[in-house]
Amino acid sequence: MKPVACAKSPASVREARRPGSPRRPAQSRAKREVEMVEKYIHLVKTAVDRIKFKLPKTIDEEDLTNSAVIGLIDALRKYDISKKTKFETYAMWRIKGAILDELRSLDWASRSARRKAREMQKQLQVLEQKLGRSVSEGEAADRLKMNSRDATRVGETMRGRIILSIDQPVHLDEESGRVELCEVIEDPQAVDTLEAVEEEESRKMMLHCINNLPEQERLVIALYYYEELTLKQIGQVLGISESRASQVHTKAISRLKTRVTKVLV
Amino acid sequence: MKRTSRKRKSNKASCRDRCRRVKRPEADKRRREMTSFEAVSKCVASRLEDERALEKCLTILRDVIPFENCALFVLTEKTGKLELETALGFPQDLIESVKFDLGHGLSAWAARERKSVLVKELSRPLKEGSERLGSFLAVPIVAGERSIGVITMGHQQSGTFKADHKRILQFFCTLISGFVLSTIENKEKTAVVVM
Repeated sequence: MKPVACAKSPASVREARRPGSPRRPAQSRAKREVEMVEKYIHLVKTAVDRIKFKLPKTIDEEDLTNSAVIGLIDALRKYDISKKTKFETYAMWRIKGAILDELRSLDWASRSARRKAREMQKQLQVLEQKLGRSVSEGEAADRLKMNSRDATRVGETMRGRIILSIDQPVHLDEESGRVELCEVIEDPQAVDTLEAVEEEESRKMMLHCINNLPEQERLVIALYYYEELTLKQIGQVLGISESRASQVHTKAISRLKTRVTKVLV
Repeated sequence: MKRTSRKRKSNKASCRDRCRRVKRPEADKRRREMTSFEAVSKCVASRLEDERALEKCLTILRDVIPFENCALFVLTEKTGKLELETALGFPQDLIESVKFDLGHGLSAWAARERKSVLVKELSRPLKEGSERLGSFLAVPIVAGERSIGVITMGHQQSGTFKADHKRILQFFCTLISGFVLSTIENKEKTAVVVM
């Protein structure tokens, strides 16, 4: 079997094992690797900084940094000095590649779906310019001869849907341990008990204040705010003019303000 | 000359036809109203001991007023408040949570003031647990100078009740006022016997 040419990292080049020399202990190799990573860590930072501003906020920078470090380690191990390439240049490509791999693994849409989404976007722009009106995704899909299933998937990709696992840990709590996403997602339909109690109390207080108003004012306020009757309709019910109803309303409001302030203070 | 007179005649005939066409529905309506009032009077006169007479009267009223729900409240001497006597459909009222001398809601105010209330169009938002109300009518039942009850009616559709319906209900209330008064007195007598 023909021996395979081994790609060597800068460290391994300098410390290449000569035939017959004793094998270096694994511990010292690891130590060297750590030193090299520390030396070239600025490449990781540069690569992450260049990519992160193009990405949505949902993507964790730490995850990207971890992948970039893995890329750097990979570069250190696979670097071949005989290719006469600067290590920084080679490592930068490997780091970027590692970051893109990580991003692709996070993306629920396949590369082909992303490509189709880009094509669709382009087609939409072209059609809008040509027709001078807004164009639906269906029209663009027809032009691209896409079937309905593909068009739906592409539409979802374009709208930037992100799929997260509901069981994914969000953070570690000292008391309860692992906290999962499903435990911290807010239910928009859930009733906030405290808010409901406060609302009920203020409703009761307002009703008490309204019930203590003089009868005509009580009627005007109740019909205006509870039943949403117009001042004209209220005037007809009470047998007074619209302007008189408006006067009663103003008076009732100022009286209510005073009473509510008294209750609250 | 002949031609002109014939023309005049035909004009007159068409005018008469038009008048007939316009007046007939009005006349039909009046006839229906009279029939209903007659039926109510008979019902009240013949069923003096019947507890369901008022319910029967409300059913007859449905022929002339297109309500979805109708309720008849009578004044209880003991409490001095209005209490539900009979109803068709689920009774609805305006400003139910607001307190008046004779009870809660606009019907209580209408009864005390002896004032008929017609709200043709209501656009209030739908509240939780309550049905939509688009049109509302409340008319007090008065015996002599005293208010002894109130009839309320509602419909989901706005603009259902008109001034004409108010007039019919007012007349209906006058017709049944004697019967309602006797019902209240009977109840009081029964209560005294039981005690």
